[in-house]
Amino acid sequence: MKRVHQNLPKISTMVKRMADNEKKVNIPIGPIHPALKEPVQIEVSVSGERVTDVNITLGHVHRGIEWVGTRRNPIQTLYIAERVCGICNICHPMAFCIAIENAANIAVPERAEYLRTIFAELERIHSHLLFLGVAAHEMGFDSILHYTWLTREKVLDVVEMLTGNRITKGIMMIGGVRRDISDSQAEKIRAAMDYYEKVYGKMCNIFLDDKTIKMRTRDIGFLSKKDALRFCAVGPTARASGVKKDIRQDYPYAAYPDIDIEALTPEFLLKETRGDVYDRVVMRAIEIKQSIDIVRECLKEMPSGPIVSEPVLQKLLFNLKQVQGEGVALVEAPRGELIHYIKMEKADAPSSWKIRAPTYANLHVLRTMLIGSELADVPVIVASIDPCMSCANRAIIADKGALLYQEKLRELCIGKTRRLRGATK
Amino acid sequence: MNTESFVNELKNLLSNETKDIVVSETQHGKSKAKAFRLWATIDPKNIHGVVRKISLLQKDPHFSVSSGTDLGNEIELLYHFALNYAKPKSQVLLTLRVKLPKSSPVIDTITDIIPGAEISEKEKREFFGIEFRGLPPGNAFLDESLAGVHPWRKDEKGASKFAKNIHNGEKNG
Repeated sequence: MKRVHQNLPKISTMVKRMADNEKKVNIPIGPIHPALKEPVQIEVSVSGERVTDVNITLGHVHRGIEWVGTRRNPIQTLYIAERVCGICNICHPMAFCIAIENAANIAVPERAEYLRTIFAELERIHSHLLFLGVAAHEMGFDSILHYTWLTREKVLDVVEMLTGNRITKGIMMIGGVRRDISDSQAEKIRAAMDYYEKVYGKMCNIFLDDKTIKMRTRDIGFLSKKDALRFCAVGPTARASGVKKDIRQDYPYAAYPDIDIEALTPEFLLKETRGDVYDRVVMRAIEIKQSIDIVRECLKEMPSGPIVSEPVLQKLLFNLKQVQGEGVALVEAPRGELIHYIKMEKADAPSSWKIRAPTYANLHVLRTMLIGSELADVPVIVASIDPCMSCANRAIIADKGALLYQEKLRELCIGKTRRLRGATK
Repeated sequence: MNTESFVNELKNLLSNETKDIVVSETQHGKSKAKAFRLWATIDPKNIHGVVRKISLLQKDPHFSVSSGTDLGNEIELLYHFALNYAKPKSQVLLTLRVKLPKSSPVIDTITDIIPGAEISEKEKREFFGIEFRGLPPGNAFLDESLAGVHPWRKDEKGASKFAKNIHNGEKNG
Protein backbone atom coordinates (compact mmCIF):
# COMPACT_ATOMS: atom_id res chain seq x y z
CA MET A 1 0.00 0.00 0.00
CA LYS A 2 2.83 2.35 0.92
CA ARG A 3 4.66 1.65 -2.35
CA VAL A 4 1.59 2.58 -4.41
CA HIS A 5 1.21 5.75 -2.43
CA GLN A 6 4.77 6.81 -3.24
CA ASN A 7 4.14 6.28 -6.94
CA LEU A 8 1.18 8.64 -7.05
CA PRO A 9 1.31 11.51 -9.52
CA LYS A 10 1.14 14.98 -8.06
CA ILE A 11 -2.37 16.06 -7.13
CA SER A 12 -2.21 19.09 -9.43
CA THR A 13 -1.24 16.81 -12.32
CA MET A 14 -4.16 14.50 -11.64
CA VAL A 15 -6.70 17.32 -11.40
CA LYS A 16 -5.36 18.91 -14.56
CA ARG A 17 -5.55 15.60 -16.34
CA MET A 18 -9.16 15.22 -15.28
CA ALA A 19 -9.95 18.80 -16.30
CA ASP A 20 -8.33 18.28 -19.69
CA ASN A 21 -10.24 15.09 -20.23
CA GLU A 22 -13.51 15.85 -21.97
CA LYS A 23 -14.82 12.39 -21.23
CA LYS A 24 -16.38 11.63 -17.88
CA VAL A 25 -14.17 9.89 -15.35
CA ASN A 26 -15.62 7.55 -12.73
CA ILE A 27 -14.00 7.99 -9.34
CA PRO A 28 -14.81 5.47 -6.62
CA ILE A 29 -14.44 7.22 -3.27
CA GLY A 30 -14.24 4.65 -0.56
CA PRO A 31 -15.32 2.04 0.49
CA ILE A 32 -13.73 4.09 3.19
CA HIS A 33 -15.44 7.42 3.67
CA PRO A 34 -13.55 10.41 2.27
CA ALA A 35 -14.47 12.83 5.00
CA LEU A 36 -15.08 10.88 8.15
CA LYS A 37 -13.05 7.77 7.46
CA GLU A 38 -16.24 5.70 7.56
CA PRO A 39 -16.90 2.81 5.19
CA VAL A 40 -19.23 3.66 2.32
CA GLN A 41 -18.47 3.65 -1.36
CA ILE A 42 -19.44 6.77 -3.26
CA GLU A 43 -18.66 6.43 -6.92
CA VAL A 44 -18.69 9.87 -8.48
CA SER A 45 -18.54 10.60 -12.19
CA VAL A 46 -16.72 13.84 -12.93
CA SER A 47 -16.38 15.93 -16.00
CA GLY A 48 -13.34 18.10 -15.37
CA GLU A 49 -13.76 18.95 -11.68
CA ARG A 50 -17.56 18.90 -11.75
CA VAL A 51 -19.49 15.94 -10.31
CA THR A 52 -22.02 14.69 -12.87
CA ASP A 53 -23.33 11.49 -11.26
CA VAL A 54 -23.11 9.60 -7.98
CA ASN A 55 -23.66 5.96 -7.06
CA ILE A 56 -23.61 4.87 -3.41
CA THR A 57 -22.85 1.36 -2.16
CA LEU A 58 -23.23 0.38 1.49
CA GLY A 59 -22.65 -2.71 3.55
CA HIS A 60 -18.88 -2.76 3.88
CA VAL A 61 -19.13 -3.11 7.64
CA HIS A 62 -22.50 -4.84 7.84
CA ARG A 63 -22.10 -6.75 11.08
CA GLY A 64 -25.36 -8.68 10.96
CA ILE A 65 -26.45 -7.07 14.23
CA GLU A 66 -30.15 -7.77 13.63
CA TRP A 67 -29.34 -11.41 12.84
CA VAL A 68 -27.35 -11.71 16.06
CA GLY A 69 -30.19 -10.02 17.98
CA THR A 70 -32.66 -12.69 16.91
CA ARG A 71 -30.45 -15.30 18.60
CA ARG A 72 -30.21 -13.64 22.03
CA ASN A 73 -32.75 -12.81 24.70
CA PRO A 74 -33.98 -9.17 24.74
CA ILE A 75 -31.76 -8.11 27.66
CA GLN A 76 -28.64 -9.47 25.94
CA THR A 77 -29.76 -7.83 22.70
CA LEU A 78 -30.20 -4.49 24.47
CA TYR A 79 -26.43 -4.32 24.92
CA ILE A 80 -25.90 -5.26 21.27
CA ALA A 81 -28.28 -2.43 20.30
CA GLU A 82 -26.07 -0.08 22.28
CA ARG A 83 -23.13 -1.12 20.12
CA VAL A 84 -24.79 -0.31 16.80
CA CYS A 85 -23.14 3.11 16.97
CA GLY A 86 -20.33 4.63 19.00
CA ILE A 87 -22.10 7.99 19.15
CA CYS A 88 -25.83 7.22 19.26
CA ASN A 89 -25.65 4.67 22.05
CA ILE A 90 -28.51 6.19 24.00
CA CYS A 91 -31.00 6.45 21.16
CA HIS A 92 -30.45 2.92 19.78
CA PRO A 93 -31.04 1.10 23.08
CA MET A 94 -33.86 3.54 23.87
CA ALA A 95 -35.59 2.77 20.55
CA PHE A 96 -35.05 -0.94 21.14
CA CYS A 97 -36.57 -0.66 24.63
CA ILE A 98 -39.57 1.36 23.40
CA ALA A 99 -40.23 -1.21 20.65
CA ILE A 100 -40.14 -4.06 23.21
CA GLU A 101 -42.30 -2.04 25.62
CA ASN A 102 -44.85 -1.52 22.81
CA ALA A 103 -44.89 -5.22 21.99
CA ALA A 104 -45.14 -6.28 25.64
CA ASN A 105 -47.43 -3.42 26.82
CA ILE A 106 -44.95 -2.33 29.49
CA ALA A 107 -45.68 1.06 31.06
CA VAL A 108 -42.53 3.07 31.76
CA PRO A 109 -42.47 5.11 35.02
CA GLU A 110 -42.69 8.87 34.45
CA ARG A 111 -39.38 9.60 36.15
CA ALA A 112 -37.64 7.10 33.84
CA GLU A 113 -39.12 8.91 30.81
CA TYR A 114 -37.56 12.19 32.04
CA LEU A 115 -34.23 10.49 32.72
CA ARG A 116 -34.25 9.00 29.21
CA THR A 117 -34.89 12.44 27.76
CA ILE A 118 -31.99 13.98 29.68
CA PHE A 119 -29.60 11.26 28.51
CA ALA A 120 -30.82 11.62 24.92
CA GLU A 121 -30.26 15.39 24.91
CA LEU A 122 -26.79 15.07 26.45
CA GLU A 123 -26.02 12.67 23.62
CA ARG A 124 -27.30 15.20 21.07
CA ILE A 125 -25.05 17.93 22.51
CA HIS A 126 -21.97 15.72 22.28
CA SER A 127 -22.87 14.45 18.80
CA HIS A 128 -23.47 17.94 17.39
CA LEU A 129 -20.24 19.29 18.92
CA LEU A 130 -18.42 16.36 17.36
CA PHE A 131 -20.03 17.19 13.99
CA LEU A 132 -19.08 20.89 14.18
CA GLY A 133 -15.47 19.87 14.80
CA VAL A 134 -15.46 17.43 11.88
CA ALA A 135 -17.03 20.01 9.55
CA ALA A 136 -14.34 22.55 10.54
CA HIS A 137 -11.63 19.91 10.07
CA GLU A 138 -12.83 19.17 6.54
CA MET A 139 -12.56 22.86 5.72
CA GLY A 140 -9.04 23.00 7.15
CA PHE A 141 -9.93 24.84 10.39
CA ASP A 142 -8.32 22.55 12.89
CA SER A 143 -8.29 25.20 15.62
CA ILE A 144 -12.12 25.01 15.62
CA LEU A 145 -11.94 21.22 15.60
CA HIS A 146 -9.81 21.29 18.74
CA TYR A 147 -12.02 23.90 20.41
CA THR A 148 -15.29 22.02 19.77
CA TRP A 149 -13.85 18.67 20.79
CA LEU A 150 -12.37 20.25 23.92
CA THR A 151 -15.81 21.58 24.90
CA ARG A 152 -17.31 18.16 24.11
CA GLU A 153 -15.21 16.68 26.92
CA LYS A 154 -17.44 18.40 29.47
CA VAL A 155 -20.59 16.56 28.37
CA LEU A 156 -18.71 13.26 28.23
CA ASP A 157 -17.55 13.89 31.80
CA VAL A 158 -21.16 14.52 32.84
CA VAL A 159 -22.27 11.31 31.11
CA GLU A 160 -19.49 9.42 32.88
CA MET A 161 -20.60 10.86 36.21
CA LEU A 162 -24.21 9.78 35.56
CA THR A 163 -23.70 6.38 33.98
CA GLY A 164 -20.17 5.29 34.85
CA ASN A 165 -19.14 5.27 31.19
CA ARG A 166 -18.28 7.90 28.60
CA ILE A 167 -19.32 6.03 25.45
CA THR A 168 -21.32 2.82 25.86
CA LYS A 169 -23.35 3.95 28.81
CA GLY A 170 -25.29 0.82 29.78
CA ILE A 171 -28.05 3.00 31.22
CA MET A 172 -31.17 1.84 29.35
CA MET A 173 -33.31 -1.04 30.52
CA ILE A 174 -36.54 -2.45 29.18
CA GLY A 175 -39.20 -0.65 31.22
CA GLY A 176 -37.03 2.26 32.34
CA VAL A 177 -33.41 3.09 33.12
CA ARG A 178 -30.76 1.52 35.35
CA ARG A 179 -29.59 4.51 37.38
CA ASP A 180 -31.26 7.57 38.86
CA ILE A 181 -29.91 11.14 38.97
CA SER A 182 -29.28 12.47 42.48
CA ASP A 183 -29.75 16.12 43.52
CA SER A 184 -26.00 16.73 43.59
CA GLN A 185 -25.64 15.22 40.10
CA ALA A 186 -28.51 17.40 38.89
CA GLU A 187 -26.59 20.47 40.11
CA LYS A 188 -23.56 19.39 38.10
CA ILE A 189 -25.73 18.94 34.99
CA ARG A 190 -27.13 22.45 35.48
CA ALA A 191 -23.58 23.84 35.77
CA ALA A 192 -22.64 22.00 32.56
CA MET A 193 -25.65 23.52 30.78
CA ASP A 194 -24.54 27.01 31.90
CA TYR A 195 -21.12 26.22 30.43
CA TYR A 196 -22.71 25.09 27.14
CA GLU A 197 -24.81 28.25 26.98
CA LYS A 198 -21.51 30.17 26.78
CA VAL A 199 -20.08 27.67 24.28
CA TYR A 200 -23.20 28.14 22.14
CA GLY A 201 -22.63 31.90 22.09
CA LYS A 202 -19.05 31.36 20.96
CA MET A 203 -20.13 28.81 18.32
CA CYS A 204 -22.58 31.34 16.92
CA ASN A 205 -19.79 33.92 16.70
CA ILE A 206 -17.52 31.44 14.92
CA PHE A 207 -19.99 29.90 12.51
CA LEU A 208 -22.15 32.95 11.79
CA ASP A 209 -19.47 35.62 11.52
CA ASP A 210 -16.42 33.92 10.03
CA LYS A 211 -16.21 34.99 6.41
CA THR A 212 -14.20 31.98 5.20
CA ILE A 213 -16.54 29.41 6.76
CA LYS A 214 -19.41 31.14 5.02
CA MET A 215 -17.61 31.23 1.67
CA ARG A 216 -16.57 27.62 2.00
CA THR A 217 -20.03 26.27 2.83
CA ARG A 218 -22.55 28.76 1.40
CA ASP A 219 -24.33 27.75 -1.81
CA ILE A 220 -22.75 24.32 -2.12
CA GLY A 221 -24.38 20.92 -1.63
CA PHE A 222 -27.92 22.18 -2.12
CA LEU A 223 -30.90 20.14 -1.01
CA SER A 224 -34.25 21.68 -1.91
CA LYS A 225 -37.27 21.26 0.36
CA LYS A 226 -39.00 19.35 -2.44
CA ASP A 227 -36.17 16.82 -2.74
CA ALA A 228 -35.87 16.49 1.04
CA LEU A 229 -39.55 15.49 1.11
CA ARG A 230 -39.41 13.21 -1.96
CA PHE A 231 -36.38 11.32 -0.72
CA CYS A 232 -37.67 11.12 2.88
CA ALA A 233 -34.69 12.97 4.39
CA VAL A 234 -34.65 13.13 8.18
CA GLY A 235 -33.23 15.10 11.07
CA PRO A 236 -31.10 18.23 10.82
CA THR A 237 -30.47 17.43 7.13
CA ALA A 238 -34.20 17.76 6.38
CA ARG A 239 -34.74 20.68 8.75
CA ALA A 240 -31.86 22.62 7.16
CA SER A 241 -33.91 22.48 3.94
CA GLY A 242 -37.00 23.85 5.66
CA VAL A 243 -38.78 20.54 6.37
CA LYS A 244 -40.06 20.76 9.93
CA LYS A 245 -39.89 17.05 10.68
CA ASP A 246 -38.78 16.17 14.20
CA ILE A 247 -39.99 13.04 15.98
CA ARG A 248 -39.73 14.87 19.31
CA GLN A 249 -42.34 17.32 18.02
CA ASP A 250 -44.42 15.14 15.65
CA TYR A 251 -44.60 11.84 17.49
CA PRO A 252 -43.28 12.54 20.98
CA TYR A 253 -41.95 9.76 23.19
CA ALA A 254 -40.28 9.70 26.64
CA ALA A 255 -40.87 13.11 28.31
CA TYR A 256 -41.13 15.06 25.04
CA PRO A 257 -44.96 15.29 25.09
CA ASP A 258 -44.61 17.46 28.23
CA ILE A 259 -42.16 19.87 26.59
CA ASP A 260 -43.17 22.24 23.84
CA ILE A 261 -40.64 21.15 21.24
CA GLU A 262 -40.62 23.02 17.97
CA ALA A 263 -38.80 21.67 14.94
CA LEU A 264 -36.35 24.47 14.19
CA THR A 265 -34.96 25.49 10.81
CA PRO A 266 -31.99 27.78 10.01
CA GLU A 267 -34.40 30.74 10.04
CA PHE A 268 -34.15 30.60 13.84
CA LEU A 269 -30.74 32.30 13.50
CA LEU A 270 -30.55 33.34 9.87
CA LYS A 271 -32.98 35.32 7.75
CA GLU A 272 -33.61 32.53 5.29
CA THR A 273 -33.34 28.78 4.69
CA ARG A 274 -31.35 27.81 1.61
CA GLY A 275 -30.65 24.11 2.22
CA ASP A 276 -26.91 24.30 1.60
CA VAL A 277 -23.95 23.03 3.64
CA TYR A 278 -23.85 26.25 5.66
CA ASP A 279 -27.47 25.78 6.76
CA ARG A 280 -26.76 22.20 7.80
CA VAL A 281 -23.78 23.35 9.90
CA VAL A 282 -25.75 26.17 11.53
CA MET A 283 -28.64 23.74 12.19
CA ARG A 284 -26.46 21.70 14.56
CA ALA A 285 -25.41 24.80 16.48
CA ILE A 286 -29.07 25.80 16.86
CA GLU A 287 -29.98 22.37 18.15
CA ILE A 288 -27.30 22.50 20.85
CA LYS A 289 -29.17 25.47 22.33
CA GLN A 290 -32.47 23.59 22.04
CA SER A 291 -30.99 20.58 23.86
CA ILE A 292 -29.68 22.81 26.68
CA ASP A 293 -33.21 24.17 27.21
CA ILE A 294 -34.75 20.66 27.17
CA VAL A 295 -32.28 19.33 29.75
CA ARG A 296 -32.98 22.30 32.03
CA GLU A 297 -36.73 21.83 31.73
CA CYS A 298 -36.52 18.10 32.41
CA LEU A 299 -34.46 18.71 35.55
CA LYS A 300 -37.02 21.27 36.70
CA GLU A 301 -40.12 19.18 35.99
CA MET A 302 -38.83 15.69 36.75
CA PRO A 303 -41.34 13.78 38.89
CA SER A 304 -40.29 11.49 41.70
CA GLY A 305 -40.92 7.76 41.69
CA PRO A 306 -39.46 4.49 40.43
CA ILE A 307 -37.04 4.40 37.51
CA VAL A 308 -37.88 0.99 36.10
CA SER A 309 -41.12 -0.98 35.86
CA GLU A 310 -39.60 -4.36 36.77
CA PRO A 311 -36.27 -4.25 38.64
CA VAL A 312 -35.88 -8.06 38.89
CA LEU A 313 -34.29 -9.10 35.60
CA GLN A 314 -35.18 -12.78 35.86
CA LYS A 315 -38.84 -11.84 36.29
CA LEU A 316 -38.62 -9.39 33.38
CA LEU A 317 -37.07 -12.05 31.17
CA PHE A 318 -39.72 -14.57 32.18
CA ASN A 319 -42.46 -12.05 31.32
CA LEU A 320 -40.85 -11.20 27.97
CA LYS A 321 -40.80 -14.89 27.04
CA GLN A 322 -44.61 -14.90 27.18
CA VAL A 323 -45.00 -11.97 24.80
CA GLN A 324 -46.70 -12.38 21.45
CA GLY A 325 -46.74 -9.09 19.60
CA GLU A 326 -44.99 -6.42 17.58
CA GLY A 327 -43.60 -3.04 18.45
CA VAL A 328 -42.30 -0.07 16.50
CA ALA A 329 -40.34 2.78 18.04
CA LEU A 330 -39.51 6.11 16.51
CA VAL A 331 -36.81 8.17 18.18
CA GLU A 332 -35.17 11.44 17.10
CA ALA A 333 -31.48 10.55 17.13
CA PRO A 334 -28.91 13.36 16.70
CA ARG A 335 -28.94 12.66 12.93
CA GLY A 336 -32.70 12.27 12.62
CA GLU A 337 -35.47 9.69 12.71
CA LEU A 338 -34.38 6.31 14.03
CA ILE A 339 -36.76 3.37 13.82
CA HIS A 340 -36.65 -0.05 15.49
CA TYR A 341 -39.17 -2.79 14.73
CA ILE A 342 -39.47 -5.89 16.95
CA LYS A 343 -41.56 -9.02 16.63
CA MET A 344 -41.89 -11.33 19.65
CA GLU A 345 -43.40 -14.80 19.42
CA LYS A 346 -43.35 -16.34 22.89
CA ALA A 347 -39.71 -17.33 22.63
CA ASP A 348 -36.35 -16.51 24.21
CA ALA A 349 -35.31 -14.28 21.35
CA PRO A 350 -37.29 -11.84 19.16
CA SER A 351 -38.25 -13.48 15.86
CA SER A 352 -37.54 -10.30 13.93
CA TRP A 353 -35.64 -7.06 14.57
CA LYS A 354 -35.13 -4.25 12.11
CA ILE A 355 -33.10 -1.10 12.68
CA ARG A 356 -33.22 1.89 10.34
CA ALA A 357 -30.65 4.50 11.35
CA PRO A 358 -31.01 8.08 10.06
CA THR A 359 -27.98 7.97 7.76
CA TYR A 360 -29.66 5.13 5.83
CA ALA A 361 -32.47 7.57 4.96
CA ASN A 362 -30.20 10.53 4.29
CA LEU A 363 -27.91 8.73 1.84
CA HIS A 364 -30.61 9.14 -0.83
CA VAL A 365 -30.25 12.90 -0.74
CA LEU A 366 -26.47 12.81 -0.85
CA ARG A 367 -26.68 12.14 -4.58
CA THR A 368 -28.81 15.25 -5.11
CA MET A 369 -26.37 17.32 -3.06
CA LEU A 370 -23.26 16.10 -4.86
CA ILE A 371 -24.36 16.33 -8.49
CA GLY A 372 -23.10 19.63 -9.91
CA SER A 373 -20.61 20.24 -7.12
CA GLU A 374 -16.84 20.50 -7.41
CA LEU A 375 -14.71 17.46 -6.52
CA ALA A 376 -12.97 19.57 -3.84
CA ASP A 377 -16.35 20.11 -2.16
CA VAL A 378 -17.21 16.40 -1.90
CA PRO A 379 -15.69 15.88 1.61
CA VAL A 380 -17.45 18.84 3.17
CA ILE A 381 -20.79 18.01 1.48
CA VAL A 382 -20.64 14.38 2.59
CA ALA A 383 -19.67 15.49 6.11
CA SER A 384 -22.63 17.91 6.18
CA ILE A 385 -25.18 15.09 6.50
CA ASP A 386 -23.09 13.83 9.43
CA PRO A 387 -23.01 10.25 8.14
CA CYS A 388 -22.61 7.62 10.77
CA MET A 389 -21.10 4.27 9.87
CA SER A 390 -18.38 2.23 11.49
CA CYS A 391 -14.97 3.80 11.40
CA ALA A 392 -11.93 2.76 9.41
CA ASN A 393 -8.86 4.71 8.37
CA ARG A 394 -8.36 5.16 4.67
CA ALA A 395 -10.00 6.28 1.45
CA ILE A 396 -8.95 5.69 -2.09
CA ILE A 397 -9.87 7.43 -5.29
CA ALA A 398 -8.89 5.60 -8.43
CA ASP A 399 -8.32 7.53 -11.61
CA LYS A 400 -7.56 5.12 -14.41
CA GLY A 401 -5.25 3.04 -12.27
CA ALA A 402 -3.79 5.86 -10.19
CA LEU A 403 -4.80 6.06 -6.56
CA LEU A 404 -5.82 9.19 -4.68
CA TYR A 405 -5.90 8.67 -0.92
CA GLN A 406 -8.14 10.36 1.56
CA GLU A 407 -5.35 12.70 2.59
CA LYS A 408 -5.02 13.87 -1.02
CA LEU A 409 -8.75 14.46 -1.35
CA ARG A 410 -8.68 16.47 1.84
CA GLU A 411 -5.73 18.41 0.46
CA LEU A 412 -7.95 19.42 -2.47
CA CYS A 413 -10.63 20.54 -0.04
CA ILE A 414 -8.26 22.55 2.15
CA GLY A 415 -6.61 23.99 -0.96
CA LYS A 416 -9.95 25.46 -2.01
CA THR A 417 -10.43 26.98 1.45
CA ARG A 418 -7.01 28.63 1.23
CA ARG A 419 -7.68 29.91 -2.27
CA LEU A 420 -10.93 31.49 -1.13
CA ARG A 421 -9.30 32.92 1.97
CA GLY A 422 -6.47 34.36 -0.16
CA ALA A 423 -8.92 35.92 -2.57
CA THR A 424 -10.55 37.94 0.20
CA LYS A 425 -7.27 39.39 1.52
CA MET B 1 -56.49 18.15 10.04
CA ASN B 2 -56.33 16.92 13.64
CA THR B 3 -54.88 13.52 14.43
CA GLU B 4 -58.18 11.71 15.16
CA SER B 5 -59.74 12.97 11.90
CA PHE B 6 -56.65 11.91 9.98
CA VAL B 7 -56.76 8.44 11.53
CA ASN B 8 -60.43 8.12 10.51
CA GLU B 9 -59.72 9.24 6.95
CA LEU B 10 -56.89 6.76 6.74
CA LYS B 11 -59.11 3.98 8.05
CA ASN B 12 -61.77 4.82 5.46
CA LEU B 13 -59.19 4.78 2.72
CA LEU B 14 -57.79 1.42 3.81
CA SER B 15 -61.19 -0.15 4.49
CA ASN B 16 -61.72 -0.44 0.71
CA GLU B 17 -58.61 -2.62 0.58
CA THR B 18 -58.83 -4.74 3.71
CA LYS B 19 -60.85 -5.52 6.81
CA ASP B 20 -57.72 -6.30 8.80
CA ILE B 21 -57.02 -2.87 10.29
CA VAL B 22 -55.81 -2.45 13.86
CA VAL B 23 -55.46 0.93 15.52
CA SER B 24 -53.41 1.16 18.69
CA GLU B 25 -52.36 4.02 20.92
CA THR B 26 -49.35 4.65 23.11
CA GLN B 27 -48.92 7.28 25.78
CA HIS B 28 -45.81 8.93 27.12
CA GLY B 29 -44.81 11.56 29.67
CA LYS B 30 -46.85 13.09 32.46
CA SER B 31 -49.34 14.51 29.97
CA LYS B 32 -50.05 11.03 28.54
CA ALA B 33 -50.38 12.45 25.05
CA LYS B 34 -51.72 9.84 22.65
CA ALA B 35 -49.68 8.58 19.72
CA PHE B 36 -51.55 6.58 17.07
CA ARG B 37 -50.39 3.63 15.02
CA LEU B 38 -52.32 1.74 12.36
CA TRP B 39 -51.56 -1.76 11.15
CA ALA B 40 -53.25 -2.96 7.96
CA THR B 41 -52.76 -6.22 6.09
CA ILE B 42 -53.26 -5.86 2.35
CA ASP B 43 -53.00 -7.98 -0.77
CA PRO B 44 -49.44 -7.67 -2.18
CA LYS B 45 -50.93 -7.08 -5.63
CA ASN B 46 -52.45 -3.83 -4.36
CA ILE B 47 -49.38 -2.32 -2.70
CA HIS B 48 -48.70 0.17 -5.48
CA GLY B 49 -52.33 1.30 -5.66
CA VAL B 50 -52.62 1.67 -1.88
CA VAL B 51 -49.43 3.70 -1.62
CA ARG B 52 -50.70 5.85 -4.50
CA LYS B 53 -53.95 6.51 -2.60
CA ILE B 54 -52.00 7.31 0.59
CA SER B 55 -49.93 9.82 -1.36
CA LEU B 56 -53.16 11.60 -2.30
CA LEU B 57 -54.19 11.84 1.34
CA GLN B 58 -50.70 12.88 2.47
CA LYS B 59 -48.55 14.65 -0.10
CA ASP B 60 -45.01 13.23 0.05
CA PRO B 61 -45.72 10.42 2.53
CA HIS B 62 -42.69 9.77 4.70
CA PHE B 63 -41.50 6.23 4.14
CA SER B 64 -39.43 5.23 7.17
CA VAL B 65 -38.34 1.74 6.16
CA SER B 66 -39.62 -1.72 5.34
CA SER B 67 -38.94 -4.62 7.66
CA GLY B 68 -39.56 -8.30 7.20
CA THR B 69 -39.76 -11.73 8.77
CA ASP B 70 -39.30 -15.21 7.35
CA LEU B 71 -42.50 -17.02 8.41
CA GLY B 72 -41.55 -20.39 6.93
CA ASN B 73 -43.60 -20.68 3.75
CA GLU B 74 -44.07 -16.95 3.43
CA ILE B 75 -42.08 -13.77 3.83
CA GLU B 76 -43.87 -11.05 5.72
CA LEU B 77 -42.98 -7.59 4.50
CA LEU B 78 -43.93 -4.48 6.49
CA TYR B 79 -43.92 -0.95 5.09
CA HIS B 80 -43.63 1.67 7.84
CA PHE B 81 -44.93 5.15 6.94
CA ALA B 82 -45.04 8.35 8.97
CA LEU B 83 -48.03 10.46 7.95
CA ASN B 84 -49.51 13.81 9.00
CA TYR B 85 -46.01 14.84 10.06
CA ALA B 86 -44.29 18.20 10.69
CA LYS B 87 -46.96 19.33 13.16
CA PRO B 88 -46.90 19.01 16.96
CA LYS B 89 -48.17 15.65 18.26
CA SER B 90 -49.96 14.92 15.01
CA GLN B 91 -48.02 12.15 13.32
CA VAL B 92 -49.62 8.79 12.62
CA LEU B 93 -47.53 5.69 12.12
CA LEU B 94 -48.95 3.41 9.43
CA THR B 95 -47.65 -0.11 8.86
CA LEU B 96 -48.81 -1.96 5.75
CA ARG B 97 -48.34 -5.70 6.00
CA VAL B 98 -48.07 -7.97 2.96
CA LYS B 99 -47.29 -11.68 2.85
CA LEU B 100 -45.38 -13.07 -0.11
CA PRO B 101 -45.14 -16.79 -0.92
CA LYS B 102 -41.55 -17.91 -0.53
CA SER B 103 -41.81 -19.89 -3.76
CA SER B 104 -42.34 -16.67 -5.71
CA PRO B 105 -41.72 -13.54 -3.61
CA VAL B 106 -42.55 -10.84 -6.14
CA ILE B 107 -44.05 -7.39 -5.53
CA ASP B 108 -44.23 -4.03 -7.32
CA THR B 109 -41.73 -1.35 -6.39
CA ILE B 110 -43.05 1.84 -4.81
CA THR B 111 -39.96 3.85 -5.73
CA ASP B 112 -41.79 5.57 -8.59
CA ILE B 113 -44.10 7.12 -5.96
CA ILE B 114 -41.54 7.43 -3.13
CA PRO B 115 -37.95 7.57 -4.47
CA GLY B 116 -36.71 7.41 -0.88
CA ALA B 117 -37.71 3.72 -0.73
CA GLU B 118 -34.94 2.58 -3.06
CA ILE B 119 -32.27 1.56 -0.54
CA SER B 120 -34.84 -0.21 1.63
CA GLU B 121 -36.24 -2.22 -1.31
CA LYS B 122 -32.74 -3.15 -2.44
CA GLU B 123 -31.98 -4.29 1.09
CA LYS B 124 -35.04 -6.58 1.11
CA ARG B 125 -34.10 -7.90 -2.33
CA GLU B 126 -30.67 -8.86 -1.08
CA PHE B 127 -31.54 -10.01 2.45
CA PHE B 128 -34.79 -11.86 1.69
CA GLY B 129 -34.56 -12.55 -2.04
CA ILE B 130 -37.74 -10.59 -2.81
CA GLU B 131 -38.10 -9.41 -6.40
CA PHE B 132 -39.34 -5.84 -6.74
CA ARG B 133 -40.83 -5.26 -10.18
CA GLY B 134 -39.48 -1.99 -11.58
CA LEU B 135 -36.60 -1.57 -9.10
CA PRO B 136 -33.27 -0.73 -10.80
CA PRO B 137 -30.70 -3.54 -10.71
CA GLY B 138 -27.57 -3.46 -8.56
CA ASN B 139 -26.80 -4.34 -4.97
CA ALA B 140 -26.77 -1.74 -2.21
CA PHE B 141 -25.33 -3.91 0.58
CA LEU B 142 -24.07 -7.39 -0.22
CA ASP B 143 -21.16 -8.29 -2.44
CA GLU B 144 -22.13 -9.84 -5.78
CA SER B 145 -20.21 -12.98 -4.77
CA LEU B 146 -22.94 -13.67 -2.20
CA ALA B 147 -25.61 -14.12 -4.90
CA GLY B 148 -28.09 -16.76 -3.72
CA VAL B 149 -27.47 -16.03 -0.01
CA HIS B 150 -30.27 -14.14 1.71
CA PRO B 151 -29.08 -13.58 5.31
CA TRP B 152 -32.44 -12.83 6.93
CA ARG B 153 -34.06 -16.02 5.67
CA LYS B 154 -34.35 -18.81 8.18
CA ASP B 155 -33.95 -21.59 5.61
CA GLU B 156 -30.98 -23.01 3.72
CA LYS B 157 -30.47 -19.67 1.94
CA GLY B 158 -29.93 -17.87 5.26
CA ALA B 159 -26.71 -16.84 6.98
CA SER B 160 -26.49 -19.59 9.59
CA LYS B 161 -23.88 -21.52 7.65
CA PHE B 162 -21.55 -18.53 7.92
CA ALA B 163 -21.95 -18.31 11.69
CA LYS B 164 -20.41 -21.56 12.89
CA ASN B 165 -17.61 -19.88 14.78
CA ILE B 166 -19.58 -17.15 16.51
CA HIS B 167 -19.23 -17.62 20.25
CA ASN B 168 -22.45 -19.15 21.58
CA GLY B 169 -24.07 -18.09 18.32
CA GLU B 170 -26.59 -20.89 18.28
CA LYS B 171 -27.03 -21.28 22.02
CA ASN B 172 -30.26 -19.35 22.25
CA GLY B 173 -31.34 -19.65 18.64
